[in-house]
Amino acid sequence: MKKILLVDDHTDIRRLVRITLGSTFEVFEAEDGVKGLRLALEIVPDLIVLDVMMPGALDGLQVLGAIRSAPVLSNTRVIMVTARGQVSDYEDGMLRGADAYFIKPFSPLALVAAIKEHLGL
Amino acid sequence: MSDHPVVSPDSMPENGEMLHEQLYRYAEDLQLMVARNRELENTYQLLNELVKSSNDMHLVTDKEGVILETNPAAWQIAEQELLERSNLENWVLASHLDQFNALLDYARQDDAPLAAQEGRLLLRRRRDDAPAMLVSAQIVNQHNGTDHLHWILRELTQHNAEYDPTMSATLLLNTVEGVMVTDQNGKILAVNPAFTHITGYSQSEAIGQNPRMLNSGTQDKQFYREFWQSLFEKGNWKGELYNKRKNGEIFLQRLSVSAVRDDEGKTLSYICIFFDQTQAEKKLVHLAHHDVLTGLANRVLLGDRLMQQLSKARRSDGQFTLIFIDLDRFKQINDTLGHAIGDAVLCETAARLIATVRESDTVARLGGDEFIILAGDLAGDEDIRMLCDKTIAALSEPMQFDEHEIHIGSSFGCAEYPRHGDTEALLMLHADQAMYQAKSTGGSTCVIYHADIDLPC
Repeated sequence: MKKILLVDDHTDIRRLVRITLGSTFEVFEAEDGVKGLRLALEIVPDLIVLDVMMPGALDGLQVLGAIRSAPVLSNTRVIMVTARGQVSDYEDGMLRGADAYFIKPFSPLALVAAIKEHLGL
Repeated sequence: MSDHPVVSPDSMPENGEMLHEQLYRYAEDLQLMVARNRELENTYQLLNELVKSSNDMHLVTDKEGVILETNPAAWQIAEQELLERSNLENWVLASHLDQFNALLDYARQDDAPLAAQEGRLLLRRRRDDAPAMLVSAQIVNQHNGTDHLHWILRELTQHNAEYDPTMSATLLLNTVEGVMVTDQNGKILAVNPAFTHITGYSQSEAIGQNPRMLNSGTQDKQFYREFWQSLFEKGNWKGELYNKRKNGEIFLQRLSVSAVRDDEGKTLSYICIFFDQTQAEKKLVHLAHHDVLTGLANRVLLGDRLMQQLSKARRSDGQFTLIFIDLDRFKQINDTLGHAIGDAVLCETAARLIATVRESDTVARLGGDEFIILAGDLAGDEDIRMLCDKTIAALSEPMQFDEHEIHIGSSFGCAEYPRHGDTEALLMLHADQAMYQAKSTGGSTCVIYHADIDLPC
């Protein structure tokens, strides 16, 4: 079973996504960037669903940068999730470093389809 | 420290509002999925109806072959209650179990392509009086995580098997009857191997020729007039005629000719089936004159040869000798080692006798362990003894059958024409008496008839 890591500070959103993916994947959760990165390095997930805007020392974009520079995570795909109207041009460019990005609120069907596509399923 | 513009938390939607919006998206997707589900259900129903009304037998089994679901067409194998939960393997006849297992093994592979794998199976049916059913079997691995295999069986017996042209071809290849097919003008289109065996003409020599090449000239014009009249009027002819083989030999043929006509009665071709009567008669004659077990002459043929030898010797003042041979203790071999070994001993004896006499001599078996040599021109005690000693020596060599080494003795009794008798009956009687005397002295010896034998001991 492929491993998916959810990094989002919203408990309810994490819970929704976990229910959506839970029957098909092994789902892990982290509530901020630091915990997310630590868990990612530990479990080496196949894919990370990563929220951009998070409180704490690292936001989503910083976590993305760290993932991209960690050799152990070179095969890990990243899907970024960000709130509507919150994306600057700069952020847009950074988000393009991810495998895909979704604007909240996102279609769960589209998210599942994107995850499957990026995992080659 | 991040160097991109920091978004103020104030501009973020409230957590509650974000959750609401996300939930609405879930509801929208759910609506979409409900609609899709309805479509899928309709498709499923449609497919289900198609499978139900299909003439093909559909069965779903698990990976071991246990039947889980069937369609009505499959119930011609057995009732649904009996069929479901049984293993499909139990309905496959032993001759096709290998095929069945090959199909199953193929479909069990995880990487087996979705495309159907096809084979042939012979199925028995619940009703014992129903004939076995030959089916083409397709097996589809659904790869949908259920580990189910979908079998599609189509009966071949009623359709393809009936029209299989290779069947009649095989039939023709293996018959003892010669078969020849000609066009409406008599040109030979096809012959079978038995035709070649009987006539001597190979397939390539015969095809394109006219059956006239077999004409022996024995039948007159009137015969052929009646032959053609019957063919035109009744569409067939049956009877016997003499034809000629390639080597010139004339033989008696039992022939049946049928005209093949189209719907309008126009003759398209003739089919001739014939039987080599001469060869069959020769076989009968051989059977009537030879001992089945050893192939030696039998009593009938020996009688003929003896009569010939007698009349020849009478004409030319010639001589010949009749030698009776009886194996010593043969009954004991039969009783202790069985009839198979006994028969083998008789055959080996026959072979050794043939090997020691001249080709012009006759070796016969009268039944049991009694053999007779009719040796033309053999006369005089010295020559007779020489032949007998040589033959006794040949027979006393050990015989090996399986683990058994058998030593066989033999008693010889001889009567010479005309010295010891000048009729068939006398010669037989005296040779027999001489043989009994040889036996009474302990066997493995030869006695030539002499007048004293007649005296009681």
